[in-house]
Amino acid sequence: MAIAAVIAVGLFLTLFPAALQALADRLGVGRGVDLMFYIVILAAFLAVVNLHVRMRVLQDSLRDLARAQALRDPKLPLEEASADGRTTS
Amino acid sequence: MSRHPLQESMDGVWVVVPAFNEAAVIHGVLRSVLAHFSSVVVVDDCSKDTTGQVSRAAGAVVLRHPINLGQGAALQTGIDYALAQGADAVVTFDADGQHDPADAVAMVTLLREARCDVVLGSRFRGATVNMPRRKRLLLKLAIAYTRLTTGLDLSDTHNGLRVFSAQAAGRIRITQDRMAHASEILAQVARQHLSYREAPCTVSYTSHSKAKGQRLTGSVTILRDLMIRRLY
Repeated sequence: MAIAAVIAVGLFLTLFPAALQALADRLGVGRGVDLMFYIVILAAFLAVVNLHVRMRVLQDSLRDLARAQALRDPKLPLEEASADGRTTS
Repeated sequence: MSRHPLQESMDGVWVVVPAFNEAAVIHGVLRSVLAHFSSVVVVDDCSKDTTGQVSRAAGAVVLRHPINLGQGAALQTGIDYALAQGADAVVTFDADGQHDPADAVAMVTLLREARCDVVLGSRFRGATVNMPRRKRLLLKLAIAYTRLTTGLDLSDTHNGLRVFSAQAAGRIRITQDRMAHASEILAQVARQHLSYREAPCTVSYTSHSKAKGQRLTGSVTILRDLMIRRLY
């Protein structure tokens, strides 16, 4: 979806560069290309933040999964240790 | 080895020992803990050495994380296990030999006598052996940070020796997988208005524990982890 929108906007601005220049003039930016440069930097920053949050959320699920596996398979003390009366179970 | 007189009353208490690459020292640590407590669970955080086997041979239950998650995550795994086993109190105890099991016994006794939710070990009320000066400065900063963010008036905030009642252990949920869990636990104690006491304990610094301990860069990572957790 997001990629389709980027392609559509890109196509439009390539075919009608004057539109980009008009927008830049309106926002007080010198050239249309400069405006595009600023927008790309902002978009890249948001993408990094988005990926970071997704990664942390994924890490939390991974943690829960690893914990579940550890809890499902407790290794009880070996025989030598329980022989002297220190059994745990 | 004769049983400690308090051994009977320590039944039902589970000691949680998070461990990562501690094969060199963990056998001795576990034997000394098992002289006082009958139930010990080591959470092997995917060690690359034989920590797991050594711990089982020493007489502890071992849970192994299939991937390395960090000390905070290991503590929570151990607490989950202890509560599932019906523990009536949970002790957290470091694997590197810096704590004294006798202090843990005294803390469990205090928890029961004072009927409070949490007992926190304090090396500044107790004693330290060979503490580096830089470490002292770092800990004092951490104490000031905790006072500022939680309002808790504590003399030692980043000590691995703690005792929780079963109820308190069930209400604390560690989401800081790495080293920021110490601050997180205290934040939850404050937010949930759990009653707490501090108890003196001795912390011994050996070349082994110093090599594994936190550095200044570690505290920067901790601060970053704490900030990020507030964002989402």
